[in-house]
Amino acid sequence: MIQEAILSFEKEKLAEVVKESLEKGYDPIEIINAITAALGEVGKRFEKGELFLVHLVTAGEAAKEAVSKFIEPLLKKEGAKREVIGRVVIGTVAGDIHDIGKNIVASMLFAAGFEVIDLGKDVSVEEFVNAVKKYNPDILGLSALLTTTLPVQKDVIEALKKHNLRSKVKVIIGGAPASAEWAKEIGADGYAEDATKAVEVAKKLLGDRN
Amino acid sequence: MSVKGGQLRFLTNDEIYDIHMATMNILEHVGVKFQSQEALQILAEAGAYVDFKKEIARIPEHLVREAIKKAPCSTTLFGRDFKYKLKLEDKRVYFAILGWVPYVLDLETGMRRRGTLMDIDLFFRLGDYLENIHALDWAVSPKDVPESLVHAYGLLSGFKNTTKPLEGYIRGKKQAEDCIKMASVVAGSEEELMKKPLLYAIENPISPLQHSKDMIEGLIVYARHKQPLVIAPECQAGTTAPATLAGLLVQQNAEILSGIVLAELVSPGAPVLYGTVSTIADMRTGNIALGAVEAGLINVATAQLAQYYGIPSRGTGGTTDSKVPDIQAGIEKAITLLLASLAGINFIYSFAGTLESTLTMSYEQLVIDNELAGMVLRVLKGVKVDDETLAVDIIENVGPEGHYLTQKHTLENFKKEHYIPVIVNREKWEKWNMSGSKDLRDIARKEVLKILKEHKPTPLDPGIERELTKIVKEIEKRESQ
Repeated sequence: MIQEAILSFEKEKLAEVVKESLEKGYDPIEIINAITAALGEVGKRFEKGELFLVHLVTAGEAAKEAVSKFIEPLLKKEGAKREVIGRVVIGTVAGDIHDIGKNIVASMLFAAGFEVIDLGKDVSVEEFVNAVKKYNPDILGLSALLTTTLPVQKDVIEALKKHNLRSKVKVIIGGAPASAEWAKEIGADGYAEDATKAVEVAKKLLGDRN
Repeated sequence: MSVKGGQLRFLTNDEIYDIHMATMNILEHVGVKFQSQEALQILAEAGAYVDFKKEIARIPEHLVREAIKKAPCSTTLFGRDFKYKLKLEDKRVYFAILGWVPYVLDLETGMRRRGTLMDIDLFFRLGDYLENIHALDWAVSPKDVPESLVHAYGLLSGFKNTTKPLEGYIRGKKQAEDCIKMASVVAGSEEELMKKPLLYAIENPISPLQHSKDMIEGLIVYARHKQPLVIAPECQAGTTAPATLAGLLVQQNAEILSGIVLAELVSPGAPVLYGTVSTIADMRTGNIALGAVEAGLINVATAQLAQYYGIPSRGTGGTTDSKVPDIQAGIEKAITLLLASLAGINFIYSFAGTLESTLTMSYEQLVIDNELAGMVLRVLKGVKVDDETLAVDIIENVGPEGHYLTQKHTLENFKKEHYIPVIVNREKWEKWNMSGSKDLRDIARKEVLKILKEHKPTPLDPGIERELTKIVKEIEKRESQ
């Protein structure tokens, strides 16, 4: 049922099925597992070229909404928590309001089992530093689309160093003008050229950290 | 499946009429050479002024007008299962491979070598799979088969390996009749074949202003059996036609119309295609230059003239003078194919897989050309504007700051509106670099190997195959005597 709802790529359908399942008394954790398995299937078909970005993001968003709207409140009431593989703080750097790429990455990371704290766009260096202090994430994701805002990724890393936070968090960068070469130059831990690669890199960095 | 072109027009109506009038003048006063007493007799009886000794027929305008009146404005070409069909009419655009090419770029070594019967099988199978290639042909002239048997082996391989329409061999009465016999077996009977043609045939007048003996013989056979008959001269501006494109169009028009006059006299109502393979000659070497941008211009004008006469058209496009699938091939193919397609040429032949002005075939290029054809077909569809596509509600729904990736509208429309490439690479540097920095030829080669490994064409009915093999054996016996 869950798999079918996700593969219909209709947001409302998954919400309905999840609501119904909860009312029938299904274990919320099991529902999450079923959603994760269905998202895995979507990812597999995407890799094969059978599905497209729109499917990936629609499924991811539908899952995110169903989980945060129906399942997480229930778990909270029971004093339980969704099991996540890691925590990511993500945002588009100051001066840049391009956020579609960042949104896709956030959605993919959520679908892959991360807890994602999205700071939005035009996020200042200070806000990034404060968020690292506040949330203590495993990974910090910095997005920039403009060549003129790309240097802000470097500024954030420098600020983390200044506040003695650099060793506490892995930094991953992305955006059209970014590259592996640039990541190395500014001392970021990872670079991903697209959303699926971002998940792969985030998982790898998590492994390095543990 | 079919898409209409016709957005592009270079000639004004007055200019088209000027070309028409000039052509009538040439046909009536200069005339055209027919290397066939039978053809000359037919033309003389109809009222042409014929010099049997010089083999020249001067054709008065009324004969041309009558022929145009008899020629159908639409003709449908079928694949062997009668499900796959091409409606050659109006401004619908279809793409084809070609036949007779002497050389192949070897898939293993990448080096040029002579074509073989094995290549014929493989090109048919590849072409059968490729979505944007609509009609096939036996690609190469096989060095391992005597010339007198190529038509039989080629057609047998075609019927076995594809359900797309095929070319019938036209050089010579015997060969043309063999092809009709084989196609009749596949169609069920000769009557059925005449109702639902499975073969197209191409008569190439020899410029300037001649129809060769063997081609006329074949023309008569195909016209009588109502298989779509293309009359397509290969005029070369500067050598076998005037250097000016308008002059070339006049001479080409005379060559095509004289062929159509003969076909419609032989078999009133015979489906014909107004065709061209014309281009300029390279004035440094004298070589034909099918990749020249002028070939594209000539195709646009040819489409306009065909539309003026109300006859379906055949052109060239996606041709190149490059020897390998490289940047020159990309430039020349893209420009000429886009021009011919935008003009609404119905049947674009000499295209898919060809290099070096159709002297070399390439497996990789065929797969690349399928992609190019897909892109061009997308262009022809243009920009659709209606309430659904204007998407005002959707824009309102998403509003500033949002995105469209989770909209149902996106899911429902992206495949309709976007051409989804098969081999073109849109990855970013890192991923591309990680997967071996492959260029398009490498990627295409991999795709060729994959298709040849996986694609199984719909099998031909075993009874029909036995019957065809029997006919081929008979032809072998006849030719060995």
